[in-house]
Amino acid sequence: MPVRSTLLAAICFFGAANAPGISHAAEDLSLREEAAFRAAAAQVSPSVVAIETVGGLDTLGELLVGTGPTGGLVVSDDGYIISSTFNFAHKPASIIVSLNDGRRAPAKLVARDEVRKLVLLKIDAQKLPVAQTAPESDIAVGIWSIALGRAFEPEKPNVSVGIISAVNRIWGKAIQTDAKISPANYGGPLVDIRGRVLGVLVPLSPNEKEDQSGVEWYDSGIGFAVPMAHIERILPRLKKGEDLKTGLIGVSFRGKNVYADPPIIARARANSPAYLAGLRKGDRIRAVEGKPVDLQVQVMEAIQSRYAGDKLRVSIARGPDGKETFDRELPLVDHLDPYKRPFLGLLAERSSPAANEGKVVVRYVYEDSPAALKGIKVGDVVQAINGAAIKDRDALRLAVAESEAGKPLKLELQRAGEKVQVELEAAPQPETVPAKLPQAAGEPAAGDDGAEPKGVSVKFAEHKNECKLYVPETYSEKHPHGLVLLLHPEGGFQDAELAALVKQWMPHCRRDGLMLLVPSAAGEEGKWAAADLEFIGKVIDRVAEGYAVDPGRVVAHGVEEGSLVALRTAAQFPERIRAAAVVNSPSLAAPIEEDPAHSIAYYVATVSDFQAKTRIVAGIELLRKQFLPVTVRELPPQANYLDAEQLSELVRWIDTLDRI
Amino acid sequence: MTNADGTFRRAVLFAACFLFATGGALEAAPLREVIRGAQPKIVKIQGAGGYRGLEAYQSGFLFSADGYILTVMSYVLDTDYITVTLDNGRKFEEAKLVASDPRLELAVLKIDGSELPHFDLAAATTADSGTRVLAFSNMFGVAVGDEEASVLHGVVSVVTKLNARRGAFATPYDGPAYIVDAMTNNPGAAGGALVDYRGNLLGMLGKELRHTQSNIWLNFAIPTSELRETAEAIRTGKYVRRAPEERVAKPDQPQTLDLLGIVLVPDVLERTPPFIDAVVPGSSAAMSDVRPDDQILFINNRITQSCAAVRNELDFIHRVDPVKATLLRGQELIEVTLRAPLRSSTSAAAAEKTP
Repeated sequence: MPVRSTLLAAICFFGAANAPGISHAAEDLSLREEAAFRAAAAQVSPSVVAIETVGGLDTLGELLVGTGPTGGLVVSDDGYIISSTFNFAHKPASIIVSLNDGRRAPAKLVARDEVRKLVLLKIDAQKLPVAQTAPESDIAVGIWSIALGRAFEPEKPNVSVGIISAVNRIWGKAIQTDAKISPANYGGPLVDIRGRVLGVLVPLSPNEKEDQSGVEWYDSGIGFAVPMAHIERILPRLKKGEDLKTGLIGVSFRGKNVYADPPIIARARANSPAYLAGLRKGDRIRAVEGKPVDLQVQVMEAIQSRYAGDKLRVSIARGPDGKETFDRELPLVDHLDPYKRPFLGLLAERSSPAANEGKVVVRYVYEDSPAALKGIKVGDVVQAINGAAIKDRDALRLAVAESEAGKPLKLELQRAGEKVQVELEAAPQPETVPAKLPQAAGEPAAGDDGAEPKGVSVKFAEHKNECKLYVPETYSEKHPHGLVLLLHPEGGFQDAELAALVKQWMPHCRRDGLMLLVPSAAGEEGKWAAADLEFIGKVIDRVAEGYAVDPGRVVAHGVEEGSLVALRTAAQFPERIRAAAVVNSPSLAAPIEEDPAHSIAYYVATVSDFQAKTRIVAGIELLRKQFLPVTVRELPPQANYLDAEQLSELVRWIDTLDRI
Repeated sequence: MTNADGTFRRAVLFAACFLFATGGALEAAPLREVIRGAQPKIVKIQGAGGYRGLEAYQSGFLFSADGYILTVMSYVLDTDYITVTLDNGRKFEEAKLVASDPRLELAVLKIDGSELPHFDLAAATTADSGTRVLAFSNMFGVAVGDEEASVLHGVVSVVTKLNARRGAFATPYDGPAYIVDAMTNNPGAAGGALVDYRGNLLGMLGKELRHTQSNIWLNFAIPTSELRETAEAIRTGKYVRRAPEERVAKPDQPQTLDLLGIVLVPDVLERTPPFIDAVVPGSSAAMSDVRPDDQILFINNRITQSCAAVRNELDFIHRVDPVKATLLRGQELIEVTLRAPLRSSTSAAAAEKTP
C-alpha cells in the first residue's frame, strides 16, 4: 500500500503541476505509465534468461509439450537460476541457458520445490546480474505487475502488463495477477513498476499437484507467482540440492467442508507425526504457530505453505468441553508409511479369575514367534512393558500396538514367583491359524450340542430389516462373548438353510463364547442396500447394551454378496468391527486403514473354480501391501460354505483376533 | 508528525489521486478520443461460412477516403456476396474483393463511398515491448448494424518473427509481428486494427494461430510496414500477384552426417537426443576432436532437439559450406567447425567435383 500511494501521488502531483489542461495530464499519465512499464522491464531484463531443452517427452497427459525456449530468473550472481517445474516436466535430456549477453551454458537441475513448482538450475558462470526483490510488505492488490519471459526470442524478453489481483492464493503459496501468464513466461519474473521482482511465474491449481495443472488457465486473466521473498528464504535449501516436498502431519478431519467445518481430528494415522505427538481422535486444533484457527482450511493452508522437514506448532483442545489444552510441535514428513501392527506371539487369558483382576496371563504362545523364541511360557504374567506397569491385557495390547517400529520391547514377566526380563523385537502379523488352541480359561466347557439354539429377535421401528441373535445357553454376563455377524447372500437365507448354519455354529459358540447375529436386508428379494448398514450399526450397539460383548472379537462374516456388506460394515464401523471374514466374495473392498487402537484382520475363503478369482487375488495383494493380515483358504469347487473342519479353523482364527 | 496526521495526509493524497486517476473527465478523455477517432475507420465484414463452426464474419479497416478496406484473406471472402457495415450502420451489400496477397494473407475490398474516415498507411508508426495498444475488431460477431467494434487494451509483449523458419504450422507469413498481451485474436477479430494510445495504426490483427514451439495460442498483429506496399499496390492497380514466397530452398547437394564423419545413436524415439555414437577416423569430426557421447546441441546456432532435427538442419546447408556445431560434453559446451572433404572416397556423391 505505501508504495502504491507514493507512486500514485508522485504521478498525480507531477501530472497536476505540469498539466496545462486536464486531458493532457491524463494523456501524460498513460504515456508515463507506458514508459514506466518499459523501464521496469528493462531493469529486470538482464536477469531473465532463456532456457532451451533437448529431448524428453512429447506430451504430458493430454497436453502437447512445447519445445520452444522458456524463461528463468537469475537468483544469485554465481550461476543459480530459478524456473518453473512445468518447463522441465517433460524430463529433458539436456538444459541450455542463454544469458542476456548472448552467452550460453549447459545447466544442471539442482533441486525442485514440489509444493510451489519451482526448480533451481545451476550454470557455471560468475557475476551474473541479480534483480532487486520487492519487499513482501509492498505487495498489495491493485499495484501494477509486469510479467516477463523469453519464450519468443532468446534475445528479447516478452512483456505482459496487469495488476496484482490477490495475495495469499492457492493455500497461501502465491500472488495472483491478471497479466497474461502462460508457457510464454513460466519461470520468468513478475515485477513491480519500479522494476523489482515480486515473484516467479508458475502454473498453479488449488486442488491438483501435477506439473501441468493450472496450465489450462493460461492467458485467462488468472496467473500465479511465488513471492520472491519466499524464494530467497528457501534458496539455501535448494542450493544444497534438497528437494522440497509437501509436508504431512497425518490427520484427517471430521466433516467434509474444509471451508466451514472446524479442525476436529477424525483420525490421527498410526505412526504419523500427529499420532506420535499424542494427537488423537476428537482433539481440536485451536491454533497454528500461535495463530488461532477456526476452520480446517486454515490448518491446511498452514501446512501447505510449509515443507516436509519443517516444524509446525499446534495448540490442541481436548475433552468434551475442550478444557484440556496443550501445545505440540509436529515435524512435517514427506510421506506416511502404512501402519505395521507389531506382533509378539501371545494370546492372553480373557476372563479367568486372574484376568478379571487385571493380570495379563499368557494363555498361548505362537510357534516360532518372537515370544516363543525368547522363551515366554504359558502361565507367565506380563507385568510391565518398557519399564511401565501394565494395568490389564488391553493396556498391553495398546502399548505394543503403539510401540515405535524397529525398536525392541522390554517385557517384565512373573514366572512362578520369579521376575523374568525379556527383550524382543516385534514380527509381522501372522496369516496362519494355529492348528490347536487351548480353551480360553474361564469360559464354559462344551455343553450339550444337541439342544436347539434359541433366537432372539432384534427390531427397530424405523427399519424394515429383520434380525435374529443366537445366544448359546452357556452365555453368562461374567464372560464377555465375541459377536459374529452372519450376512446372507442375495435372496437371503432359507429357513432350513439358516437352521443348518446355526446348528453348525452353535457348538463353537458354546466352546469359544460367541454369539451369532443374523441381520437380513430390508430390500425385496433379500437385496442389500446402503441403508442396511445403518441398521447393522444400530443392532451391534443394541446387542452390546443388552449383553456382555467382547469388543476384541466382533467379526463381520459374509457369504457371497453378503461379503460386500461385511467389508463395508468393517470400513464404516472401524471402532466396532475387528475383522472381516468372507466366503466366495465377488471382490475385496479397498483396504481399511487400521490404527493402533483399532485392528483389522481379513479371512478370505474362495472356491478354487471361482470366476472372480483374479479380482480376489488382486484384492489380497492390495491388503498385503498395506501390511494387513489376510488368511486365505481355498474351498473345493462348487462349495458354497465352509465344511466342519474349515469352520472350526475360522472359529480358531476368531479366537486369535485379540492376539498381541 | 503523529500517526493521525499521517493517516490524514494519506487520505487527502488518495482523494486527490482518485480524482486524477478515475475522474471521468481525466484519464478517460484522451483514451476516449483515441477510440472515438478510430471507430469510424473499422468495418464489420459478413461473407461465406456460418456452418461447421466456421464464422461468417470478420473485421477490416478503411485505408482510403474512397472506400478501400484492408482485411485478412479467408474463406469469409470466398463468395460473391460480401457485406461491409460501417460503424454508423451504413451497409454495403456488394463489397468488391479487389485482390488478395497469398503470402501476407491480406485482401483489399472496395466499397462505393467518398470522404470516409480512414487510417493513413503511410503515416503509420511502429511500437516495441511495453507500448500500450488498443485492438479494434468485430470479435465473436457481436457488433451488428451501427454498433461499434469491440476494443481491447494491452501492451505489445514482444516484436518477433511470427513463426520459425520452417515451422510445423504452414502459415505463409513468417515476417515480424506484434505479439500482444490482450486476447486480441478471437473468432472474427482477424482483419481488425491495432493502434497505439495516440491513435496511430500499428498493424492488422491476424488469424487464430498457435505458436510453433510453445503450442500456445498467439495474439498478434502484422505491422503496417509489412502490409503497406502490397495494399497500396492493390489500391493503385499496380499489384502483380505473386506466389507465396519461396521458403529457404534446400541445396541440391546438402551436408550429411556421413560426410562429416559422425554416426548418431539409433533414432528410436520421436525426440531421440542427438548423441554421437561413433566418429569416423580421419573425418572432419575426428580431426576436430568430436567424440562419442557428445551431444549435438546446435547446428549453425539453431537448436537441434533430436537426431531428426540434426539431419534436417544439415539438409539446408550446402556441402561446400562449413557447419558450426555446438556440442555438450559432460557439462561443457564445445564449438567445432566441420567441413565436408573436397573429395571423399567414402561416398559416391561426395566424390563429385565441388565447384
